[in-house]
Amino acid sequence: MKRGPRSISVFFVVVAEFLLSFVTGCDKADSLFVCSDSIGCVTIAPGKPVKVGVLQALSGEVAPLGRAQMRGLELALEKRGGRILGHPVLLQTEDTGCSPEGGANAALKIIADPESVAIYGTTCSADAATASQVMSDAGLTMISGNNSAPFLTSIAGKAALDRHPGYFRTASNEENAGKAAAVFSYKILGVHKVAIIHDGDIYTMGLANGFAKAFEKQGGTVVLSTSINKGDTDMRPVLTAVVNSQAELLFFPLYQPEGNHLLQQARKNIALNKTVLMSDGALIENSFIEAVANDAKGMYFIGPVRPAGPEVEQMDAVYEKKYGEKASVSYYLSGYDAANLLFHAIEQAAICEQSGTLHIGRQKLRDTLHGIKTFKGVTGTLHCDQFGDCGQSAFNVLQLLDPSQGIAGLESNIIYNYLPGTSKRAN
Amino acid sequence: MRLLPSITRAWHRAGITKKFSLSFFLLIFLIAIMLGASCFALFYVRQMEEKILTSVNIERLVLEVDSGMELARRLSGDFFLHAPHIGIAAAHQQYVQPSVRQAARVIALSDELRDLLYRSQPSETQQTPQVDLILYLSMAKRFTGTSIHAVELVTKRDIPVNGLVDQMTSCVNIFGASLVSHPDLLALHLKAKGFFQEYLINHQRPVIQSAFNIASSLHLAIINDQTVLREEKTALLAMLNQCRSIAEEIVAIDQEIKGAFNDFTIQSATTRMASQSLLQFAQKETFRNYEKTHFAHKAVLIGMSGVFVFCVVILMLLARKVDHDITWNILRMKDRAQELTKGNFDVRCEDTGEDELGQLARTFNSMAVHIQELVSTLEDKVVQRTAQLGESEQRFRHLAANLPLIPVQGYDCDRNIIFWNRASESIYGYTAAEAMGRKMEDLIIPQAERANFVQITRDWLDRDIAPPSSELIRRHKNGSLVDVYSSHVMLNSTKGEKEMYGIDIDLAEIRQVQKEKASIEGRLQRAQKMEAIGLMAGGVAHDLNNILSGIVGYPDLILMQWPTDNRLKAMVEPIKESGKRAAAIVADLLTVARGVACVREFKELNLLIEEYIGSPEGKKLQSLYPDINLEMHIEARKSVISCSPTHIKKCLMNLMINAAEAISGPGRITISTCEQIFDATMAEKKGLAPGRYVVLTLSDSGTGIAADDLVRIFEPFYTKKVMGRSGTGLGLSVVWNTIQDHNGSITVNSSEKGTSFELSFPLVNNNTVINNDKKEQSEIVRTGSGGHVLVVDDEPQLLDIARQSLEMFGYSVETAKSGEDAIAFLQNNKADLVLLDMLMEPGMNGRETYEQILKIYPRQKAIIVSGYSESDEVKMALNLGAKALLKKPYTVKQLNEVVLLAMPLNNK
Repeated sequence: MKRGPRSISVFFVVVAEFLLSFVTGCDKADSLFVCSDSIGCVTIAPGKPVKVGVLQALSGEVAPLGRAQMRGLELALEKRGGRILGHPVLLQTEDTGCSPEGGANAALKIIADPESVAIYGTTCSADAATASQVMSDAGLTMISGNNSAPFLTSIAGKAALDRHPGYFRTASNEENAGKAAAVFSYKILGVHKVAIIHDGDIYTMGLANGFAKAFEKQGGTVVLSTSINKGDTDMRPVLTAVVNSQAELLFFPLYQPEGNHLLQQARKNIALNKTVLMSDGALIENSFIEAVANDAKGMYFIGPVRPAGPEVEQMDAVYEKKYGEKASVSYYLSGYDAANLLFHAIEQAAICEQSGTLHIGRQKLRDTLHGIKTFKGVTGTLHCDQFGDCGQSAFNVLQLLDPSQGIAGLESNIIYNYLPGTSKRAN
Repeated sequence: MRLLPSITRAWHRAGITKKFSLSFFLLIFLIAIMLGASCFALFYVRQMEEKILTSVNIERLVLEVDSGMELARRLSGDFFLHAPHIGIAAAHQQYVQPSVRQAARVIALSDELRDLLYRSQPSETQQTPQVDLILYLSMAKRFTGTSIHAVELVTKRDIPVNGLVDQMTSCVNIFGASLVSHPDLLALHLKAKGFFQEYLINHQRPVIQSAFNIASSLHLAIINDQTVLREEKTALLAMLNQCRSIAEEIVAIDQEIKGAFNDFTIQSATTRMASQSLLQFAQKETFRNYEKTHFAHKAVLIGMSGVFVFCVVILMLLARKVDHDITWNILRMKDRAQELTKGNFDVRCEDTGEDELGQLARTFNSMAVHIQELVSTLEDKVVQRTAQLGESEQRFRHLAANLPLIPVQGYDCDRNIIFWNRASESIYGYTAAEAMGRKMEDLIIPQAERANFVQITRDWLDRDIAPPSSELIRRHKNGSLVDVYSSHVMLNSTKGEKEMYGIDIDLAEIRQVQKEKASIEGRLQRAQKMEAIGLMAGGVAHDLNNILSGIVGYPDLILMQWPTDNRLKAMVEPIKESGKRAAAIVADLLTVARGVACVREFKELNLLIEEYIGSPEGKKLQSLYPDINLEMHIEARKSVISCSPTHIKKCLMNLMINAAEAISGPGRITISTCEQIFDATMAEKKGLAPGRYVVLTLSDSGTGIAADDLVRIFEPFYTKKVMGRSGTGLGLSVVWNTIQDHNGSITVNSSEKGTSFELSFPLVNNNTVINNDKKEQSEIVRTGSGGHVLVVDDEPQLLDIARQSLEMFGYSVETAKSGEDAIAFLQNNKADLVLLDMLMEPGMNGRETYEQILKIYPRQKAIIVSGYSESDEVKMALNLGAKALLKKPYTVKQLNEVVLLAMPLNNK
């Protein structure tokens, strides 16, 4: 057979490639990825899990809230078959104990693993403040479905003191909750003198301060503003002070069990029979209603607007089917949204190699979350602003009329609705 | 040893292509060996380098892990050191968090180190104890666990309010307050409190044990104290137990913290050994691989050098062989070929073998033999060809020399004439003997052109600019100039010198032909122009004549009927004369238009001249110009021509008038005649056929005619006179047309001394019967015989004039307005004579009417009346038997004469 120019050229190409392979030593198995992220990358080899830290309050009186958040996470994971981009999700769950120290130490355990991608948490704003600082300094991202204290993100359109770059939340920023309660008290209830009790926690203190400021702006007078300690059981001295102040309304944004003690002891004080009682969303919980029963009758609560609609109903049904009980608190919905939002952002930020290896830029993950403008969640359309707030900020004033109807009865009895910029009284 | 001779034989047998193929194959094979060796060396060295890199990376990672861990431990230690002073929260942020972050970084580095150790060099790492290695790699993870646990313990113990220490302090204080009323118990309590506070400072186990011991004593004291109430005892004991359990918890935490510290120490010691071991391993590996690389470098250098030297030697041997067998043979063959080109046809190449060069040598030899044979016969052929060439050249030279009509002159670089053919002799007047050796410019170049000729010749020789073929002017020996069309050729002589040749064509004859052609074309154009004008004139003539018939006819009738003394006659007479003059102009126009349309007569020219001179018009002219002397030189007696005498005389009249008007003051007009025979050349010049002619020359001593006018004088309406004064512009046109109609010619010669018209008429045979009778028409008007005349005309006026005129002469007259009416009339009536108009519209014309009439009355007499000149229709009517042609406008007198002619009196 005649050898044409084509066969000659093929020969030279083969020889050239052979020689080139010695000179360059190219190995196609090697990854060509070079991390250019400003705060580093997490590389997940094929088959290896995507590690997500979970920081929640799983012990103590607030444990029901923590558990609701855990269940929101579980439902979101279940929806994805427990996988992100083909990799299993490994959760490293730590209990914060709803305390700042607990939050900080639990966060340490997450950041100690360099392969941790992000954190789902926390339950309480107090532990979120420390955990947020720890994980942000380590380059991680954290998202919460339960934190509502304004100081974690922004106050009055400016970055708050404890705002850290890796922190996001789908729960409402309760900056306006105090204002909503004050406007309702002054304008709707016609109250002009109020007493305020908080527990020194930065969440309750922030809410109390917001209420006082707004109430005085309306023209009312704060006749008493004091605090109790977490763990206090005897509320009689402080209630005596309330009586002495002749306040028409007592605003006490406390957690359980301090809130329970205060309510029950107040009901036993005859001098406070005519005093209006109002608390916040921390007590909009089935366990609270069950614990205090009729003592809570007639009491007002300021809390975020509960999501509603067919998707929420569907989620409630899934929840009940999976856990054999109705949700004790609606915050599991924002937890579910938070987990979904986080997993979605990881998928968007990840660079996938053909081999299955994932590279997740830590800053890119944060930027992806900040860049989310319309994410359809069960609580509504989520939009993350520059401070990390992704949820909506509307509040309802609820009144408990029939404790036997539990949380559902409370949440359905909306007295007043407050949306920043507008407000209306519900029928 | 037999191999070498057989290789040598095979080499000699092989062709050049095979030898080169073999050489190139060997070359490529050697290059491939070198490339292969290079690639292997590169591959080996690269592997060694990778190993070295791995070892260096292991060393780097171990050092980074060690330093990272050291930092993490230090920060962790700082936390425990500074927490009591700056607070747990601040210490947490300043020390614990950086420590954990550092540890996390070390964990990542440890993972990287593990990958390096186990993935790339699993066998080598076995040198390090596996337990230590695993411990080392998990060191950071373990540290973080221990460290964070210790921090949690410290937090649990020391945080404000809810911390164990604060709880213990609160408990101790409340318990102390409860013992205020029991001094003994209080003393024990204070002692125990003192130990507890000491423990909080130094954390020494014996100290707290002392506190516990006192607490036990206090417990017994409370039980045994009779002053304390029972309920109070229970409460105090419960409080004491609570405080003790808190203190025990604090102690347990402290112990745990201590355990953590111990753990750190053990970890540090264990991992330090593993670290050192790994470092030693990495350094050893690095050194070992460096050694291997160094050895590989040396081996490659030596191997490559050997292969290179081997290749060079083989290539040199190959080159030498190729040089000897191919190059050297080619050079030798080149030398032989050069010898052959120098003329050595005996040279031959050696036979070098079976390859292509050997075949080439044999081919060369056979070619040399063939060339030798060819050369020997070539000289004979050259002699033969030279002879043939000389003969051919001689033939062409003879041909060129004897060309009859094409002059050829040859001259050398100095313009000396070297060739001069017979035609040159003829055209330039110099014989070849006179011309040869002389310079061209001295001989035939006009004086004014000589410098130019010399320059052109120089340009041609020096710059190769050949002169173009063109018309040139040369000089004849007699000094006259000769027009030629000259082409130029340069040739190389047999001596290699340049020779130039001029090849001329005599343009004299061509010029003559062109001149004559122009003359003929001019005449033709003039004839066409005349014909066009004639057509126009002819068109209006008929209508004008009909109109003029009234102007001439009625005054005539009036004059005839008035008495001679009627004073109005003087007023009517000019009307009639004006009509006649107008009719004359129309007649001239018709002459111009249709030529001289009348019956020819044989007349002597001289008689016609005399008749004119003697006529009233001739006499009148002479009387008008009394200072002009008329001279007659009549030589051509008895010269008979076929002519229209009226027109010939009119020609004479017009020429005479022309001549007289050209003379201002006294002068002379000469009329001469002579007979001439025109040969072909002469006849052609005049546009005539060769033959005998009588020539009438009329010359004057006037001012002559300008050259521009001369060519146009025969055009109708072309006049230099004042229009309307003496001429109509038709005089010379009538002359020209008349001469043309008589098949003659007219030539004009004019100068300042005068003008001469020369009229040539073809002569007729002398035996021809000549009608020279001059019928002097009676001036007396004869009265008609009273015959019956039918007048046919489509013009009512003409009918009326004819009827009145004929009735005046005694004829009975009937009129018809058309041919059809006339025929209808004649169907039932008779007429002695029919006066028949030729052109009638609409309906039949005169000729057709006459034909119809002849069918009724075959001998019917008729006169044709026409306002138009004689046409074919008129001729046909005359041929049918019409007696005469009467032209419109006619006078009464003319009508009467014609009627009398057709119907003589004796016919009555």
